[in-house]
Amino acid sequence: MLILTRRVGENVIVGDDIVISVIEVRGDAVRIGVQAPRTLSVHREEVWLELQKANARAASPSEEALDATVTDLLNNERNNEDPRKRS
Amino acid sequence: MTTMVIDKVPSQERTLRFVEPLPGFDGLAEFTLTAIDDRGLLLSLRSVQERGLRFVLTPADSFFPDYQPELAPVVSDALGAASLADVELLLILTISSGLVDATANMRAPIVVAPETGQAMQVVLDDEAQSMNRRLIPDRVPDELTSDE
Repeated sequence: MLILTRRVGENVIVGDDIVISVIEVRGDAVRIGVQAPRTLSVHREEVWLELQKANARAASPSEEALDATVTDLLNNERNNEDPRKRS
Repeated sequence: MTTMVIDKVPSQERTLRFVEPLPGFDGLAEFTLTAIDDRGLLLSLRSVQERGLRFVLTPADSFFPDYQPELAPVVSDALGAASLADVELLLILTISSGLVDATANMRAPIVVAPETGQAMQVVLDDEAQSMNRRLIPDRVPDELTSDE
């Protein structure tokens, strides 16, 4: 890992077209700007990891659970209740 | 900027091409989208390359009519859409046993540009949005409560 020191307003350039800027430093928080081609996605690490897990959990639910969900929706309809009605 | 959400039921199979892979599912770009129930409240998103991989989605406005997240303009560029006005928002559901405990990922909706058939999962920069919000509020009608 390359480790370097930057001041507020200074940048780091990665490759041809990625620019990482230090916007503000306050206490232990650093505001960083990232300019990258739109084909590259930029994410906070913890959010990215959480999303991977959320997608993995959501992937390929069992037929039984899906059938039960469809049945629940139909039952709601039959009872003239809008399942979308929110309190 | 607000985003229109579509309320049309996709009556037939559509093909979506993800311009970025779904996080955790690299290399899978082509998916088919079909309605599961008659009203199109539940949609099946199945991988063309891995037929065993299927997500269950819901049009965002089906259960959450007030959900109008702010999308960055870069999203329409990435999808090849003329504007964000016509994009569809779909939410990935996690289904464990039935409707009662089904949750939706509000933080990372799937955004679809109908005119190009291109899609991507967008992470909203809004920590108030949950990755697992219940479809049905906790106070549920009696007939929906599980009798287990």
